[in-house]
Amino acid sequence: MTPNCIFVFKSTYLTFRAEREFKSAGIACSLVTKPRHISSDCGLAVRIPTDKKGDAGSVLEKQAIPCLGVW
Amino acid sequence: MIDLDVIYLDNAATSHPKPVSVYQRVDTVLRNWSANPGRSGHTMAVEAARIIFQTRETIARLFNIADPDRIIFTPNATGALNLALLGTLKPGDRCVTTTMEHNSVVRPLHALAEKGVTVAKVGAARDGSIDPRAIAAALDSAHSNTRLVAVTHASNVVGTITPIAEIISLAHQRGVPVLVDAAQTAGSVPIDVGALGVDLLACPGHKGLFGPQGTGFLYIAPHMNVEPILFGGTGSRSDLESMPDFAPDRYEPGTQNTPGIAGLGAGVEFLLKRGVEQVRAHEIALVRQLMEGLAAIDGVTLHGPRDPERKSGVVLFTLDGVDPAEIGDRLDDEFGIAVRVGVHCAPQAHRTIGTFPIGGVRMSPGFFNTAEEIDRTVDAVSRIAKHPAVVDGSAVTA
Repeated sequence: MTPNCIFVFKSTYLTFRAEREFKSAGIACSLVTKPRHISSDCGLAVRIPTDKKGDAGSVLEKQAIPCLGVW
Repeated sequence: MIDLDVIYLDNAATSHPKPVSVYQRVDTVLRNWSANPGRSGHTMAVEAARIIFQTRETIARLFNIADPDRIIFTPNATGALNLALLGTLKPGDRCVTTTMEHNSVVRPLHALAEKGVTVAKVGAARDGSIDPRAIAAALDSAHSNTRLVAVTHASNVVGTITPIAEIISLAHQRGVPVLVDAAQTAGSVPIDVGALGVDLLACPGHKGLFGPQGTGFLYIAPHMNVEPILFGGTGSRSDLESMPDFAPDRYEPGTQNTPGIAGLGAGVEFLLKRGVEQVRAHEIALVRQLMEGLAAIDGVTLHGPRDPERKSGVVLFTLDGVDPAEIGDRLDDEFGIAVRVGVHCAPQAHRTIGTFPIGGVRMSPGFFNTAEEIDRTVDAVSRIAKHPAVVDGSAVTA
């Protein structure tokens, strides 16, 4: 099983933007509930394969999408 | 579907009909994806949140808004205007506005005035036109505490279009942001937020944008410091008792109107495909036809600019000796024509154009009206003018 990491954003809007940009860049991703140990929010986070973490970070930087953290 | 065979000329209040895609989108979302957006990770909730995200992005394309997360969904333009005004103005502040505003601006400002906000109203001409130089003069009158200019983009009474580009330029030169009430123009008159530099834009979803009732939005430019006026759960920063400090969550507590926002998205997509310019051209043609037809009827007085290019899709008229309410009722009962009479929630605008307190008959064609419907409408008014209602043997007088 491929190890995954979780990208967390402060708003649902930014989460969807990140998902769209990841997919546009060919990075497989899915939306998941923010893990409780990361956040008390009821919202969503983006899950991607860990080996794409660097590519995903580059996408966020290029699109100026602020990220709260990666777990 | 019930076929009422109505000639609907009340699009300035709520547009009807909607593009078929709006009905379909609302139905689909209400049946399949009407879970709580932004609150859960299950598929239905995710898709509900995606619909709201996509609608924000679609609206941003129509208005050339660079930051869609600054689009705040509200129940209508009134909700948007209340957020803009109550969230910006504090006791001791001053707001410059005009005498052509709807009560959705007048009443929040009145409430604020009772709490210590100074409201300066710039007068308009009899045709409803607002001189940008008068706005500038009000800003130059040694009031350093002026926090905001609040101005309608077009009068809901006579349709007169306000030169907002010039007003925004003059206000910005003086360091004052501008709130534009686009209730009568969003979707039917091009608005380029990026090019104009609009600071706050209030729009209804249910008029020119073809969304369902219960929808609207306020665009808040990133430099604007607007305080929230509603408080509650947002699904974000749930650990805090205060509202999140980021948009749109800061201003959108509580469950969103997902089916309505989905329908609004379909309406805006329709406009993006057709083009607002095409809507505008069609409405100008209908307004011109309607004004020419009405002007030829004895006893009819048209109010507002005579040039349709200077108007939104609104025509106001009075008929000598006949109560506007009587005309509205007869148009509905005898001819199946839906119009709006009275003072249109804008008494000070009617005072400005000289029709208060009687008001007038407002006809507001929309994109789905036809030239044939306008011909039938003019014929109906002509018949009413020739045969006013009779009560106790004498013609009813205003």
